[in-house]
Amino acid sequence: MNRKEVIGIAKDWFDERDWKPAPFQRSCWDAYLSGKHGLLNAPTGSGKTLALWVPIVLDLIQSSKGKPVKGLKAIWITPLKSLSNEIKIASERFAKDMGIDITVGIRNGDTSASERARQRRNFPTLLITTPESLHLLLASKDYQQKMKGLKAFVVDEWHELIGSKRGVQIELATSRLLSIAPKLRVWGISATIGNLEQAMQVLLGTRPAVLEQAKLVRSKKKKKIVIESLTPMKMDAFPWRGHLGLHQIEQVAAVIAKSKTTLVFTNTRSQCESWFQALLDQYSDLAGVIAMHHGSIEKEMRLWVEQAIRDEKLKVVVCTSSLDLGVDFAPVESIVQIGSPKGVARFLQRAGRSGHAPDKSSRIYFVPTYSLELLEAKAIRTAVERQIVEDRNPYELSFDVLAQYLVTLAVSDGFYPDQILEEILQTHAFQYLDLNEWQWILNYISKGSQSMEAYDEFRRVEVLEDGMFKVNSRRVAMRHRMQIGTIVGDGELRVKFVKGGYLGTVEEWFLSKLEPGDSFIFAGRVLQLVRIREMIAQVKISRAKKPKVVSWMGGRMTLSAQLGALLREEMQNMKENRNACKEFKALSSFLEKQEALSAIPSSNQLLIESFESREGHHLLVYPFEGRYVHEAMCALLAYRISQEFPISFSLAYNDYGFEILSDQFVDPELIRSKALLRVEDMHEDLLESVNAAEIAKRTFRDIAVISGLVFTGPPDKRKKDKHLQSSAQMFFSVFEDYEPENLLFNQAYSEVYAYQFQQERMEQAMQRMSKQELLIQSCPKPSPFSFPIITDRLRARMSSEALGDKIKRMIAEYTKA
Amino acid sequence: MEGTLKISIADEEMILHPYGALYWVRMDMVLIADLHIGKIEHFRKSGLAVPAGIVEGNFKRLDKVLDTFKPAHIYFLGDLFHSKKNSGWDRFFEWMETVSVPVNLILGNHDRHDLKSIPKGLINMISDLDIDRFLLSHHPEEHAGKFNICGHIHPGVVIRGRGKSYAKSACFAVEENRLVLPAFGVFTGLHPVDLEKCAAVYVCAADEVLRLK
Repeated sequence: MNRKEVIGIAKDWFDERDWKPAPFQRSCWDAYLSGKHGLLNAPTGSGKTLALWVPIVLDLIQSSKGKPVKGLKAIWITPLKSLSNEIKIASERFAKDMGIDITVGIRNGDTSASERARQRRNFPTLLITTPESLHLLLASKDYQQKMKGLKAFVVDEWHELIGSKRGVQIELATSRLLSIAPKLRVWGISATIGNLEQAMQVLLGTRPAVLEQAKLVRSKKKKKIVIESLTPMKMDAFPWRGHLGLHQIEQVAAVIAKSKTTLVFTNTRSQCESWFQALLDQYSDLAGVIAMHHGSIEKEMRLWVEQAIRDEKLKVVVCTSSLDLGVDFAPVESIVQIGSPKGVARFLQRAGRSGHAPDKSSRIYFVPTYSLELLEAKAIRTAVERQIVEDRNPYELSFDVLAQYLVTLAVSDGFYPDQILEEILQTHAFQYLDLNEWQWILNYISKGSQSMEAYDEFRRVEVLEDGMFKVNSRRVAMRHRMQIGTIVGDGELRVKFVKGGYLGTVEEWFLSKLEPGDSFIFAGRVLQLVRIREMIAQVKISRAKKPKVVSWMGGRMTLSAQLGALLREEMQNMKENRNACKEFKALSSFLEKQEALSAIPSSNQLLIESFESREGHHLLVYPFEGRYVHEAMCALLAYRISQEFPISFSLAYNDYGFEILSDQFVDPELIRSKALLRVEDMHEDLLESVNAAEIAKRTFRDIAVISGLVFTGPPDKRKKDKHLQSSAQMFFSVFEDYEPENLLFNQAYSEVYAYQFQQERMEQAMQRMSKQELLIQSCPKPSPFSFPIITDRLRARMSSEALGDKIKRMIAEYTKA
Repeated sequence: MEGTLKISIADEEMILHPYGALYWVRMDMVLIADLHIGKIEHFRKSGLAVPAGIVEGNFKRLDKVLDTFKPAHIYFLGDLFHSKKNSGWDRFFEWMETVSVPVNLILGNHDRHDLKSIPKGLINMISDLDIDRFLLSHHPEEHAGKFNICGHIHPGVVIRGRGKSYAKSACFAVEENRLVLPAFGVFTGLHPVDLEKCAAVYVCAADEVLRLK
């Protein structure tokens, strides 16, 4: 059969169903069958699985010539285990209809040991798995033998993986598979991101032979997206600072009432819990048809919710980014986004969760939690029009992941450094690895240090006589297998009922603030802490009136650079025409106050405000660059001011700007005259200004676990290794004192600068700001723009109740004047 | 003596060394808790790359303390050894040959493997020491009319500064009838103490002992 004939079979299959292959599907079929690698850019629910699975099957039909297909032929990576089943069902159905006898298996953390063993004896034709489970396969004996017949390696949802260390895992696996399996084709599938070309190159690596055969296929189909912002009935009731957004619960309830199923997206898990409680309290008819979904809720429960959405059993699900990804939910009609989505790509992805049926438009309602966020609705609409989407930046030189990978290879078949180095240099992540660094990593896994010590008994990877790196110790191998992966939990405790029944996980630091007897809301229930025992928090149902809401450390996202730029632009538009859109009109009284007390900056101005209050002298700057950049920038500015004269401050920041508060007056003109926002010496001054060591210490936790310095096995196994307990912090301290040149220790600092302070973005921002005119305003009292920032700072210091009082008082002062 | 701090405990003069040792002046005795000999080697043997160089760090610190006080007696307050015998023990025995005064070990919960492999007469092992008004032990003990000096806890404090800055450090924790010594060994970890419950806290801040409370 030639290529045209086999494609004909697939076309017939589509015809029988009255379907028509989409142009992007046809392109993928052609490209794959002509031996190309590539990246498919297509949204969820568009038929992307068939775009790649069809040609994989057709190729097998062609090459098997009627004989049975033996061994593993294709690996399909998905970042989420819950997506596996859907892919399995779709792929099995097509293969069956084609009359070819092939098998599809799933292998991930949920796969039973017996199933795994069965798979190892007799691999399915297609294996659907996760990055972690793939690396576990690379850690099993004879993997090269088992995988040499591989023809396809498909990485689904590549946009979710590329900006994380899981992406680096995939890059390394690709480099290995391309060497083992001569007929391998590598394909990624990605939603729209700003850097699709780069995303493809990152996946495929730098091998010229591969890149020459690479093709980027884009689905042209654009889903229509309707964005509507929900503004309060009474604009004066609109808060100036960020609350949970609950003041708009009425309108959200109206959306829920008129839609078949609604997903309500919140930005944090605690906001999710609060909204769920509030909806349930105020709309009792929702009982039984409302559910909650976030990453800390027990898995079974989450799976149940997902199935219930599909079965149309639920009217509304309050969720977090845990539902950003994943299976299609046909019944979902409306999406509600509470608060800033922080980025265009995320917003679009969420919008895309509704209206899955073909030709239906996606409808998303945006609920600003305070006035200025209304501007984001307008900015996102502009972004959609202009098709602006953020980039996802790949990790580079992640030595921790490299060390883990090398031990993985040493655990299974062993490796020869020269051969593996060649492959590694062909990955995007390690293309600039230098030979000293390579030697350092080899020494690290084989000697545990860079020099031979007397008496040393270090035992991890052994170097055999012929130069092969190999793990011979069964205990080392077992511990390593338990620890493969790059997702490190944040010291979490399991929450269980005293009488049994698992609810989910809560971060240790939150529970450490509670005493037994205290009540908190979690997983949609009011619970009382009974006791904590061996990493398990035992709870019972409570009737307390004022429970605490669980909060999680992570999850405070930062505004993307693209959205920040659009916001500055909308600010200018708003200045020019206050009636241009519904959002601007709704903001009018807010803007009048801002103009009366301060000013609205145009896009070539940087607004700086100063005012005095009982607390001291406030200095506010509004770069609109997101909280991470502002955090570093305000530390930098404060440091530079303190170089001029001795002074002490307290600092605060949000996505729009930052504040420096002091008991001494700082003349804002100083910023101009002393060029305090200059780009020169930024790195040096930043080093002086922030306690980078403390932040690096936190970052080091992940690195220590991934690179295998700290052992975090399952709790039952951990006991056996009681004398091996240590913490990442202990390692960090000894490296600081005894091995400051340690690559893993230094990686913590590089990651802080690159990801926490977003140094590159900060530099660009400061370049931009240096060209802006400084719009310096001395205000009689806090401006509306400043309000969310100065109160956010209070929240960090005071209990929430006292904060409520404080805000009430401040607002009272306002309305009096 | 630079960096040390002279204090009075239960009407006795004691000197605190920033490395975490205690010198009891009248008894001419140095007390050291939780050295955890062999821990680094134990980790390394299991493939966890603790920098091997810190082993020598332990002995340098020991030498400095003995140089400073030139005591007549040394008492280890338990957890002298971390786990089973390994090369770290041999290095310790080697170091012991340079010590000319009697060395005593009050046994701790970790000191239970391979004790027979310790050369005869090298270390005098006891379960605790009742001396004058004092009780020296590994675990914290309650004993009517006695002031307890012990280890085991690895006490530490978290000092919070402006902004979100904080620093963690080992400390001597004084309670009503007890003094808990910090862990002397490098790479032994800290357990935060409850400042409220302490009568006094002395922080080992690099090369100096500072009173926090």
